[in-house]
Amino acid sequence: MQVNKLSKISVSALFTVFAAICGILEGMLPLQLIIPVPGVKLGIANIFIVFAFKCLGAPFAIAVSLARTLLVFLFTGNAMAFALSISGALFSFVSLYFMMKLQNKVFSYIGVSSVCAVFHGAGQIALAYIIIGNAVLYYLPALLIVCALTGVFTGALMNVSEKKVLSNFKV
Amino acid sequence: MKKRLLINDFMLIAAIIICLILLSFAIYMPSESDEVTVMYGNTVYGKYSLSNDITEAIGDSGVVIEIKSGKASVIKSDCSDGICKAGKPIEKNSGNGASLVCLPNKVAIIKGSSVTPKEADAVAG
Repeated sequence: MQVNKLSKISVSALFTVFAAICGILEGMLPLQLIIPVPGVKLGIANIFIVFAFKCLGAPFAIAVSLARTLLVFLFTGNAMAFALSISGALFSFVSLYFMMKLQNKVFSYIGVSSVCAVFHGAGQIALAYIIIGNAVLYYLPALLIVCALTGVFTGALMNVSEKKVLSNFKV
Repeated sequence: MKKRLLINDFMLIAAIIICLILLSFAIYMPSESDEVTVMYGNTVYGKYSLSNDITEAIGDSGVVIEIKSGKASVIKSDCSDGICKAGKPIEKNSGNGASLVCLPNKVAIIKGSSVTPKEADAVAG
């Protein structure tokens, strides 16, 4: 029992580091030159949060999600991005919790990932709305459409890599 | 991979995108308004005509806006993101509600003059 818990903590630490590295590298990609929407990212880091949910369970997945956000903040020092990221992560986790109940029954990872990405964007806009008011609503449709499409991309990556990743991190 | 799941995925994503496209029609409708409203910390800082060229520092925010040749843009901001400076300038045929936002400095330029201090206070409350 104790060994199993330690294994889960070790695997979640690995997922956190992988997710943080992806988050930092994504921040360096000049994606906004191609898609001119503020705050747009591919969301590859979220692959590890979904896999953490799948093989470790919800409590470990939320821990991975929040720890990776904190790690990225420690490396980048961008407080506003940190606040937006936490807000997005919490919104997206709620949707992940419900979508994972349908995963492999109704939807594949593509559907799960797209919905989570849309909720992530909505969470960021919600916090920005609290900070500055309705000026940010202008970005809402464009940001959420891009989120849905990037969700397709990350979901497809999860579909093809699931077996390999989960067999390596079986706990 | 089950084909049925992929069909469900794409139906779900198509439904989401159609809803968002309908929403974007309402938000991105072009308007002929000649004014932009500058918000600073959730209150209306000022309203400016796009016809008059100005360059103005917004309070002590560190943000400088410029209206030149009918286009409003942020030309200086001391934040690290620079998203507001990189944003598309607001012009006469931009959609009503088009905005340039500097979140760290809490400054926003919004197309149109419909934002009133009362609405802004409601947002703050």
